[in-house]
Amino acid sequence: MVDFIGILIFLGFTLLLLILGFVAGTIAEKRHLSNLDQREDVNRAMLQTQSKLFLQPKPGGKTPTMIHSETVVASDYFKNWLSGFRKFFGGEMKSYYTLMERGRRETLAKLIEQARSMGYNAVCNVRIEPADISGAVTNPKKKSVMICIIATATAYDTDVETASPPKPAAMPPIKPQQV
Amino acid sequence: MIVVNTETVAGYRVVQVKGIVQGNTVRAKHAGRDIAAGFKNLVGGELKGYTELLTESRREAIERMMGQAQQLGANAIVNVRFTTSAVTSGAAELYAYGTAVVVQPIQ
Repeated sequence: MVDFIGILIFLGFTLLLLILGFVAGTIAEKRHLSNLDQREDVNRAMLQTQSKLFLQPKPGGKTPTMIHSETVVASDYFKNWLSGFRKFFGGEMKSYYTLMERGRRETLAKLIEQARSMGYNAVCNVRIEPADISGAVTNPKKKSVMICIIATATAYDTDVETASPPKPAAMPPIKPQQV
Repeated sequence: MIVVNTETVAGYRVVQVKGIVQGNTVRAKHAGRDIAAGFKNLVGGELKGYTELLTESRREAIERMMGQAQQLGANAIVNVRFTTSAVTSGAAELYAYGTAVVVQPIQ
């Protein structure tokens, strides 16, 4: 009898966490994505290149300087739970795909905003890479899923006219809660 | 000091190469933040505490690298690269390295 109650409490608690993760996670993700859309609309006016060369530097412009930004984003309990099934059956893990996407876009947006706040109008040599901070490599048993993206770039002054280029083709739409 | 991650500096010319300089730092996050992160892991979202920590560590690594460059008598570091490595769970190493050079403005 005592065992039965124990199991019931455990199941109830898990269910509560799943609902909490699902609701809060979905809200957080939607809010984050719409926030990123707004910021990227503004940021697109800045010249961003990934080449090592300075594209048309302005003569007598400000001295170029390195800028860096980083982001840590955590996944929610519901997605972690669902990913267990995906690991069993195999296939693309769409919920983690959106997680990485959010991390990358946030990092890049921060980078551009930093360059703008320092008074530069272009960035070049943008490098984006992941870093392991959750200990997934050293301790694979650890359950917490969090991703860390770091980015580096060089900010400089250009005389290229950027008349707000059109929005690039969107990625194929992904249903946020599909795993 | 001019620090860039490109091979050249716009508006400047490299006149002397001083060699590789490096800076690293190993940081651990404190237990309070770990607990907060544990909660955040249930609901999802950005972990501001860890982000700040990472920014601090990066700045620290860059400053150590700049210190080395100053000792060599350089006034710029070009081609800076970063690498990270996980030492143990809850601690990360950040390593910055670049080439210390002397630059002169182009007339």
